[in-house]
Amino acid sequence: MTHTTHYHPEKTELNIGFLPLTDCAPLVVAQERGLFEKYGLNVHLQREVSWANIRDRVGFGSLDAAHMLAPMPLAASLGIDGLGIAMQSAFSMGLNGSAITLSRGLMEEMKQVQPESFQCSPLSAEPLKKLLSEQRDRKLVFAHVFPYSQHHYLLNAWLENAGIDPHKDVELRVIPPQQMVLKLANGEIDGFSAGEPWNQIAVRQGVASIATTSYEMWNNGPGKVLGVTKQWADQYPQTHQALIASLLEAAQWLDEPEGRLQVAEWLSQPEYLNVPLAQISGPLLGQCLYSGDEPARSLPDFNCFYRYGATIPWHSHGQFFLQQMRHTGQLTHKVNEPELLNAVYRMDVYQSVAESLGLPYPMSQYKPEVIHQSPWVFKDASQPISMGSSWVATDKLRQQLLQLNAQQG
Amino acid sequence: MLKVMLVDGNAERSDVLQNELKADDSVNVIVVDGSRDLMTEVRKYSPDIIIIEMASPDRDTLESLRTVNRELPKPVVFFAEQSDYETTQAAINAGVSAYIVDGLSENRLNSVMEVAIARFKTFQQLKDELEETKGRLQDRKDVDKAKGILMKHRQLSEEEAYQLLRKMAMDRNMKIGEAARNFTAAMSLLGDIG
Repeated sequence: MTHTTHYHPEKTELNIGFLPLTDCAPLVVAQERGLFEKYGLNVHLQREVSWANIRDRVGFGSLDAAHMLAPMPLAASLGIDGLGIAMQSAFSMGLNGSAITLSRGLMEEMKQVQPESFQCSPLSAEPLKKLLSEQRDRKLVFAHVFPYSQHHYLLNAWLENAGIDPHKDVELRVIPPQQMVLKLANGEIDGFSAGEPWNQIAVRQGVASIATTSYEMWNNGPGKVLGVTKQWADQYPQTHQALIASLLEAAQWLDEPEGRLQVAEWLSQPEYLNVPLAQISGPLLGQCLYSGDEPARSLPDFNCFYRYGATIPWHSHGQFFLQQMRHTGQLTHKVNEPELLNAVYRMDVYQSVAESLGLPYPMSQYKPEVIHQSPWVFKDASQPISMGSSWVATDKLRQQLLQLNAQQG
Repeated sequence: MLKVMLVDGNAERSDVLQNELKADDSVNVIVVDGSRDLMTEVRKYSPDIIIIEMASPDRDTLESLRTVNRELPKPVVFFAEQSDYETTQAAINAGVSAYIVDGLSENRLNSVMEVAIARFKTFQQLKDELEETKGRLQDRKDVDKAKGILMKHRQLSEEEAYQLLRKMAMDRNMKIGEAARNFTAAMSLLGDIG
């Protein structure tokens, strides 16, 4: 149980932006359960249509904070996002939560060239590689949601792991999540890497099947964050803490069984996702439909909002994104990584809020990835933190993450 | 010749804006509606500047030009390179965004943006006014409904019912339409709507 902590927010009327995706859930819960009010905030949640718009509106102050793709504050602070207004995050908004989904037609072709690959799950890109080597002129198009997104880096890793060059052998395209299903259905794209509910909707409409979920590629990897500008965080420190406190409570409640069904109902409402309940609730309740012709598979950790330290702004996540930005050619200049990570991943703010709520928090800023194939306990913390598996099934990605572990020393 | 690509789902607005921009002989305007594949259009015309509605989901697609398509010049967000804070604020308030080719420094860019901002602003105002009118109409409907319930259940005259709603609104520091909606919602929870 948390005890009520009083903040003295410098600013109480807040506009917070979100994209209509399942993982905006902590914001919706904090609103619907009156948690913002509990900490003295009056929040207006504003649905946005693009990540670029979210970045610009947060950057220029017409939004106070927003649901962001995890690498966005880093890209902004590095000045490589086209805008270059320094941003930061003290709250990670959930682990896992996305998938790579392929059109039914492509799946059929892949099955014909290499049926044995379909014996195992998740599906690797090996049959895709074989298909491409047989049809050299074929240009398949895969979409993701934004250049600076976990969805982009996971799609890259999935392709590269089978020896497919994402820049030469296929075409990568950015499409807003809400347009994915339509573009897949009319053949403009052959597959996509995006968050829920769009994978479930594509499967349920019979136009696609899931090849792999983000969870299966990397158990409990990062997804979204709450982003604010550096200027805003400096100007309104108490408001920032009150906001994190509300979201921490929301995230805790979200990992209670009764929270999941209720949030699915709220999310389906017109002001949030405006999508039928049945298309949202499956993965939130740990049931993920991979293909229309089979029953749902059990994936209890498809969405983690609080457990396994899901809310913690780990510097190791930031380190991974910097590595991926270099790997994909987005970042070419030298940076002082520890300094940058301190500025962007505000572990100090998280620690202070968690302390005042009586919740456990880490004493160190890094956690090792990959090496735990089953649940474990993070002990370098105010109280031990129960963690989930951190296994990475994709070889290429596993090697990259192991390199980072070595750097942590 | 400055090549301007205008991406706007609002045909009326893009017509007006296109005509205004074309008044300058050294500006060439291409209008693209949101339904076409934007990347193909950008490749075809290679514009110097792309003016786009801020609320367009196509903006994320444009962002990817910076990193994905190495064969094209990298566009940057207009805000980042060219404008002062006030121009940026004005553009955001008007709901317009733009992308320009990296390194392009043209005085005419600013005049193009000024025209775009002014035009988007006019449409924004029209939209706001329309929404306000709609809101007022809705308020009237909701007040009528709440009055009806009060008249039926408390045997009040129309004027008395209205005065009671007005008092409810004032006591709670609300607008009368909002008070009426709250009242009707509360009554329907009690199953008391006839």
